[in-house]
Amino acid sequence: MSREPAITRDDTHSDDPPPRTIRPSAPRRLRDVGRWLVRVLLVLVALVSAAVTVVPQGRGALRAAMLLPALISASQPLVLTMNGDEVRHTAVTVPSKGGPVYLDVYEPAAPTPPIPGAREGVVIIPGVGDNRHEPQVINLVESMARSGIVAMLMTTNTLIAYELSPVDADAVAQAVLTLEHWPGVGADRVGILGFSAGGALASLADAETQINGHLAFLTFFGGYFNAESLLLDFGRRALDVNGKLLPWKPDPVPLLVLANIIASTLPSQEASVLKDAFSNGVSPPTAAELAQLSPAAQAAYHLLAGDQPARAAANVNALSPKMHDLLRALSPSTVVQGISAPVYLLHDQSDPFVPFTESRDFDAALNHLGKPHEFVEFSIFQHVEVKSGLGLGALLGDGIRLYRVVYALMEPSI
Amino acid sequence: MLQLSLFWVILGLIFGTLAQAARLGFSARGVQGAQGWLATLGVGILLSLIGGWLGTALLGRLYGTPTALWVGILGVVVAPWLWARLRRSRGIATPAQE
Repeated sequence: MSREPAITRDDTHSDDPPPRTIRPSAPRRLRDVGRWLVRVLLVLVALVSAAVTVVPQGRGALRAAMLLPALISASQPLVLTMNGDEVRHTAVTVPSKGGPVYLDVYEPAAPTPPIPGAREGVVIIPGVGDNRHEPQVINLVESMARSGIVAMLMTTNTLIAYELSPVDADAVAQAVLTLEHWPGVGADRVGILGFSAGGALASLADAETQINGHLAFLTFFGGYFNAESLLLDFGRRALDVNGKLLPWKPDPVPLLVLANIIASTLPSQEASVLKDAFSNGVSPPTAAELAQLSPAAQAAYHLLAGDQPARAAANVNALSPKMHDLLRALSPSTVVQGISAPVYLLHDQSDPFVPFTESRDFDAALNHLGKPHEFVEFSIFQHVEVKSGLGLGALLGDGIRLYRVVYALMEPSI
Repeated sequence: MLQLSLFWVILGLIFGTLAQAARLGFSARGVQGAQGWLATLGVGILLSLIGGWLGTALLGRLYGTPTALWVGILGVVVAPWLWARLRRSRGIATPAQE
């Protein structure tokens, strides 16, 4: 690179004044500054682009940066659709102890690149209900596939029916084992992303099934930690935040799910009364119908209806031993000691489906056990979906926090 | 892939122009007139394309464009410098050989 010093006049005549520096003219100085600015720009662009391709951590950072706008905007940006891979979708069904597991695999259509030689795989449990065709879920899995990750959506008949069963932990394990053997996927590069109740099944699967020790990470978005404390929050319609009770109004969907779970422990007549009470379009039971229910079923009803907030704790205690056993069997708090993978906890602070205090409790338990984990609270999501009309401040603050988590989740891909 | 390749050609053209503007291209190394410009732009296009294809083949499609970026920039800066060095060393070596 040529350096251009100020021009000096070499004059040897002794009568003439001493040599003096001639300053370049203003347009020329401007040109020089512009030239150096262009040089600096070229060097910076070259350094950054080399870092995100040559350095493995840089590759992870680029992948996370490509994925983040898709997560926040709930759509695939042009830069990702243009530079990302074409997506191939395959639907597979595998058996499990609880019945068939429906798997929808979204993967890059291109062959696995030689560096690093294997792809990352993520099993996504999109919560209760059939969310396989939800636009935000499709956007997520397609964006992941475009970024070079094999994303597998899984669901079961129980989940589709807005229910939860501990036996579905085996369904999660079967999904993970299928993904570990999927062409191009590295067996040691598979993690789980569990939304809402999907997080509980992922915890149970990691702690209690043959996939223990296999997983690269466990990510829970808007999940619960203890089904009994969850029920207590529903019953009192308030959250215990740092010792203070704050009013909280739950969404009808988790009420329906909890009613379905508890109903599975009741005789059919009582079960249908409880289920119908929280189903859409069905009127609440009459006083006479309620009076016919067993004390445990009545307690469950009042907890879900939120009509006895002062008696919430007593109503939890009044649940039958069978109900308590089922709620414990569905709680990550029961198996937290057995969790082997690093855990990432994400929660919306104003979540109307699952209180954010559940993730705080999970965080506290993991802290107590000294297990590797990270916990992030957001305000840009509504439960697990991106809110619309967000301000720049919220987007920036939460975007940076989300980027850190997404980067950590991309580490197995580098 | 055709769309991406066209994008990399445009990137190569931009780097070539920037290198010329920053006096890093062939024109600053003694290639006069249009030939200097053409050589710098040509090297920019060629190396951006090679970088993009190589990045895609080795790392995946997502990394094609960043590889095209740094290989293209490196090309338009290093190729003229190497060419000038080669010419200078030949210029010095030739009389000694005679």
